[in-house]
Amino acid sequence: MTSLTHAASGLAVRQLGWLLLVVLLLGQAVTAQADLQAAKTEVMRLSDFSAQAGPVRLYGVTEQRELFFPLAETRDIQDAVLSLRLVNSIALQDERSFLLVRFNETTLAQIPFDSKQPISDARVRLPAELWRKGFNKLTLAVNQHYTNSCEDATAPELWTELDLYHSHLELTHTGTSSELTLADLSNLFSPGIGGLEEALLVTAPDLDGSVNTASRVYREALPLAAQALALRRDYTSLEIRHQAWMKDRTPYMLAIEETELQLDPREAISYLETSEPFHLLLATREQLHSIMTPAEIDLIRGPYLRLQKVQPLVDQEGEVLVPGGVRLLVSGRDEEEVLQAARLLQEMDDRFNPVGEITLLERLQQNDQLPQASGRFLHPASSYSFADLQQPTATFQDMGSRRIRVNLPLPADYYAVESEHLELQLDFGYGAGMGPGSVMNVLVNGEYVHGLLLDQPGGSAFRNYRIRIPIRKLNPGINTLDFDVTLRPELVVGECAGIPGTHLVFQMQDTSRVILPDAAEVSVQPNLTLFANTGFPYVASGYKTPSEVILSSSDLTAGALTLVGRLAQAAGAPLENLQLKVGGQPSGHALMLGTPASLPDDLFSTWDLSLGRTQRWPYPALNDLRARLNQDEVSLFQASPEAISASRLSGQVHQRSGLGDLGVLVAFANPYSEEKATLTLVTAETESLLHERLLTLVTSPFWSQLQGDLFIWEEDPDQIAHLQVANRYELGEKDTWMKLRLILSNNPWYWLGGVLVVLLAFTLLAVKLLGKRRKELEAE
Amino acid sequence: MIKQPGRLLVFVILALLAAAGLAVVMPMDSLGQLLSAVTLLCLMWVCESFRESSRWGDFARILVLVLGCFLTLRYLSWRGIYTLSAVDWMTLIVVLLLFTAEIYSSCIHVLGCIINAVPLKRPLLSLKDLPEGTDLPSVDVLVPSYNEDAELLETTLRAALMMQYPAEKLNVHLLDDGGTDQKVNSDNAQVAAAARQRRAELQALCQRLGCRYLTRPRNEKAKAGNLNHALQFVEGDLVVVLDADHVPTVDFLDHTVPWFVRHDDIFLVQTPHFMINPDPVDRNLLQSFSRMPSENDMFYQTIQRGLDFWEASFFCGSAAVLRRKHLDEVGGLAGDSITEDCETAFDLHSKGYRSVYVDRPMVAGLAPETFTGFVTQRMRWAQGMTQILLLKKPYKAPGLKWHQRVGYMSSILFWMFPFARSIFLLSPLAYLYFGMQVYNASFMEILAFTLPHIIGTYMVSSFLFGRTRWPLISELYEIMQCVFSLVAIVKVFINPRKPSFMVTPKGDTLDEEFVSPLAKPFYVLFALLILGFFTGAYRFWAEPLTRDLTTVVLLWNLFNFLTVFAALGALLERRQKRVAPRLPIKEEGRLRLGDDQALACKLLDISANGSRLRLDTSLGLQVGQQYQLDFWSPVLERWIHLPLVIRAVFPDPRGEELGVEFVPENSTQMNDLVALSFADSARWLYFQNRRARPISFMRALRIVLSLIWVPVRAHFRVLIVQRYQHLFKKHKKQLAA
Repeated sequence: MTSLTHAASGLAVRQLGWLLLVVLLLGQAVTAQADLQAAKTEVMRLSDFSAQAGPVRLYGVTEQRELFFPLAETRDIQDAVLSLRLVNSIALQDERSFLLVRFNETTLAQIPFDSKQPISDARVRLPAELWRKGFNKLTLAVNQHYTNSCEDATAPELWTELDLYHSHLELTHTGTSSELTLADLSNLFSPGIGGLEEALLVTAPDLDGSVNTASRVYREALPLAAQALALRRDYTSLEIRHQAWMKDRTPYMLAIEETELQLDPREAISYLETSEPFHLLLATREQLHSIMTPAEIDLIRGPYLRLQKVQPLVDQEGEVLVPGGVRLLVSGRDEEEVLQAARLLQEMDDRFNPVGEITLLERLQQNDQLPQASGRFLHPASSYSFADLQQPTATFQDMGSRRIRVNLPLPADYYAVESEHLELQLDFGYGAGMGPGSVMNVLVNGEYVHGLLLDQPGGSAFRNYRIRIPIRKLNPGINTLDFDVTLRPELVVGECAGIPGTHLVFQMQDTSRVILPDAAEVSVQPNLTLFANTGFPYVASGYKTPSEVILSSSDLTAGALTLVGRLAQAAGAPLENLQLKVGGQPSGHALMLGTPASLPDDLFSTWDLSLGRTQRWPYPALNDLRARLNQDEVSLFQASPEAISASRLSGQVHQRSGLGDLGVLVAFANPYSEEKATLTLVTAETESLLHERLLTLVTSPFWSQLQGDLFIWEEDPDQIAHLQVANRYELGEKDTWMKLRLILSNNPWYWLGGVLVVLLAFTLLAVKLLGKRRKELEAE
Repeated sequence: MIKQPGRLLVFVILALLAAAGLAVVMPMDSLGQLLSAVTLLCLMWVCESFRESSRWGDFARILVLVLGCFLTLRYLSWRGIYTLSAVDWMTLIVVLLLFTAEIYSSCIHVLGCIINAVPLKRPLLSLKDLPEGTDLPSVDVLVPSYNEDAELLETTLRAALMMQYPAEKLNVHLLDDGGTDQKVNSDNAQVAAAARQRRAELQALCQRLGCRYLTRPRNEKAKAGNLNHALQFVEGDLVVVLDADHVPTVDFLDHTVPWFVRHDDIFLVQTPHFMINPDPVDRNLLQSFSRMPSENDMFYQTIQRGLDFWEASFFCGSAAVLRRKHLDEVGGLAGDSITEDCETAFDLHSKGYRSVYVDRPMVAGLAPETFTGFVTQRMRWAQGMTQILLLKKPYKAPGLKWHQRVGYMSSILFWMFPFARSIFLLSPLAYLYFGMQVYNASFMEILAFTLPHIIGTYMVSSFLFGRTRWPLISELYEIMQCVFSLVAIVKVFINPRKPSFMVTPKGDTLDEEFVSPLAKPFYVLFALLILGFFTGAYRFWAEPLTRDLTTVVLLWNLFNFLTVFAALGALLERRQKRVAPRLPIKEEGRLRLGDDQALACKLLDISANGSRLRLDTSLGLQVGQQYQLDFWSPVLERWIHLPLVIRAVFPDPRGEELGVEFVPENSTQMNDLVALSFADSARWLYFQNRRARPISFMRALRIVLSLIWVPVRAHFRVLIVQRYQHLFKKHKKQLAA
């Protein structure tokens, strides 16, 4: 197989790798240690690195499977051991059949198959020197034979099964010893092995030592900074913690005082209650005087970012008085500059900043009304090549089945006319010698839409091969376009006639294009699926959405920032114009966090559900919710509340109880907003439980299951319930005509009523005029 | 006449139209549209049941039309806004052609709704109702003839002379274009001899009957030229035009002339053309002449009445009375087009004169016997109407009122149907053969927009024309004409003044079955449509993404196939044994067996020269025996005595049925025979009403499907026999050589 093939298939797997790693890091990661330099040992299942559910089967004379291990650039591998469990066919010939283990293209082991003992375990050490920063490729290839001479390359008895679930990778790694620069930020928060999974955000305390929730740093800069870090984690959740620095004497300062040494605590991270491997400090230059040295503060001459390792303070015996750590300083001469620095942190590309500090001089932005999410989603009436969509030219060689996946991120409010089509103009080709069963199938979101038999004996090449797909087969948010390619060699009848498929080649060019039809920015709400996939309505691709995060108490700040970070990850862009508030009523789109006891009484006044001091539940037993569940399409039956009430079982139970261990996420129309806006509420019985549930919610097993408008969960992903409770409504910003379409589609009775009135009036008039004429004619 | 509407009324109308227009284009997804459309269709259905209500009938009728038109416009707006896309230029052209055809069809539909919203039923006036002493206008009856035989003309002339009208004011003229000086002096001796013989024969006939024989020097400007030439020699106040095969009833002038007496501004009183024989499609395929409304019933029983309401009923070339004075104002009959009748009416309407349509069949005529004759006639109409469109431009003609323009445009644009019909026929094949996505819509959209439009259109058509045109019949007739008319119309568009008058052959008899020489294009269509099913099946299997569309197109192709299949059945010209067509009747007479013996009998059918009688008792009568029929003629108000010969005897459990041939022995008896056969308009009315009844779409489909198999099978049998005979003759010739 050529390196080009490796690259193509590798890229496809890499995209999945980041996603799958979420599971890995949840289940297997060891607790982060305070010191980034300390060695860590992790044991991970190989199935965590594979997109394929269940065991992997390798057929034929030769076939291979590749797995990719992402490694954070800030980590050095000390040791790595691969434990494999596999089952081979008892028909395999022992001398000629074996498994090859290659790591980063270096063959490390050849494990022979034993037909008499088909289940086997193997341990292979992956030398530390072979590990690279970023993606590392493990290739598991089989050579399988059942006879010495005459052999059918596709004989069914040629198989080996790799049990990836019971195969492990045991890793020991430490932090790199080099000096940190801002370019390392992405590496620190890499979604790969060794990346930071939590971050502490520290702000200046109020006069009484509590969190200063009134400052712009808290309200605006803090959420921006949290999102900036979360976005560096890609799709992997990041737990954000928050606290104000200790105003008075911390345990560390007490320790310094006890030594009677003349040490300046401002030279270390003495303002935190506990030692942290990483923290982000947000404060104005003025506020920093109490915790940093004048020399350091003098450097702040504008919006300022600085990433530094802070050395520990030790006494004469070498005992650590104040532990060291990594500090990211986000500061400025005033609150506005801190905000600008936080925005810079969110916007900058780390690769361009291999320095420790940055001072922002000026920021220029054209089309300021457009959000950053605009560049993350595909635009209506536009054409994109596969290269634009991060899908390079893919080349497959040898027999087997492969998949090319192209992600089509549509805006959450992408609403096209149903007769429109998405057009694919594919440039692809396949080589000579394809046999029966060689096909290319095209699937959109897992649904088969097109197939092509690769049956030209001499191969064929296509340019602008058109496939038109009804646009309503695509959903707002992420869509997958899969090309499943199966290559099979020609069948040759006769003894010793099997042909190995090494000559087979298929190539999909990156010049292939996706052409999107025009669409409007209109969406049906509430929809937690959209919320989870795109962050809508808090992030929109066509316009900036001002939104608020309302907290019942500042103790929920960390949970709110974690949730906001997860939303930014879902959208691939930050929630701009976001404000963090403690208390108050939301006026537009808002996220709300609070315990039931803290929620306003009138919050649920217009809704079927209530989660306040008393609960009102639309139990399924009292409600016919069949048409409401899992229904992303506009439905007539959701449209008319009158019709629903007349024809469908509907009811609630009002009770005094509590939420127990439940976490509840609900979305509904903001009752306080004059315009249509969505309020998303997260609640649990106590604040600590709410925080705990939020940390669970942002993990992939839970986040990926968000749907409906009511989502209830506990600790176990299997204990999730979701419902569509509220009647839906439409949100749209720009295209009045399309919004009208959506409204009329939802409420055809409006149109029908108007039409009947007009036509009846017209008929009355016509009857009168025609009758008059007929009378005149009859009078003649 | 509608008075000038006030400003407020105009404002209200415009506001309602604007609101309706807005509603038409308002966007909505399929599900919402489907629900709305179904509601509107249900409302139409409910309204239909109120059509006979004296209180709500008018309102229900108009509401059905308004709802139907609204659904059609809604469909068009959806098609225009959302479905006109194509991946290449060729497809785009086909897409636009199809949409144009749909716009055309919808225009015709909407115009039809306007025209037929309130069909006018004129009262039946009579000369007797005129004030005593009224000075009746003098009438000249003009019977233009080109090549019809003397026997046919004699019947027409005798019937014309028998019309109830003061004899001194009634003159009948035979205008012979077959014996013109030009033909008599033709260089072709055979032609000249035939013309001389014809002239002499017809002159003798006219002399015998008391008519005037007129011919002219040259055959110029066809029928219009003939009539205009005759107008130089007649001076009556009114002119009646009768085609050679159009036999009037005795009350024709009684019911038409009073309109001229009462109103000075009336230039035309038109009456229906009542055909006493089936047209070739009916005869060859449907064989439902006495059960199903005739092809022209829709026009004469519904559309002309609708046009009359809007003062736009027009002259149809025969069975009409025209005021001479008005004719003179426009220089006689118009001759710019080959439909001089409609053109003349158009000219006179433009001058502000009015026309009247009297919906009572008082002239019996013959439809063309062969498909070739039928097509010749329809091509002439199509070309003539197209000429009027191009030369007279009715849409902006000065002098016409807006509703008259609408009326003429409706009548004329109808004849453009070959364009639309051809596109509807071939569009599915463009998809099935070449994959051109000519109709970019999902199955759901088709259900929501297309199907309600089709159902609504059908309901409206059924509502308006259900009694006079059964479902699917229009499609069949249009398919059969479109191939030939399309070429004819295109020629007119290329050169509007080029078409020449083609006389419709009538009165033919067919001795043996044969396949029409015009069948070839239908074989090609038949093959293409069948192949379309195979390619469609492959497409259905190979392209899962477009299965919805493929299914719809295959159904569309199936409809086209059935229509062409039926057309093949109609293209087998059936044998026609009878010389004169017979009409079923239910009247009574007496069969006089001797001087003192007469037996009551029933007349079961009647023709120009014979009848079928039923006797209640079996007398053992023999073929060849001569007797006499005594018949009380209600219109002549006297007994008719006609000698007859028994030509056939049919045993009947209730007595005996006789096929008899009348053998008049003198002129009076010949007049009586004409009177017996053609004098009574009540008989035509009875027959017409008997078959004017609506049937459901499904029943029509069942009837058509049950009827088409035998003719089509016969068609292919005859075709094979013809081929075989042809080959046999060829082989024989070769052997002889």
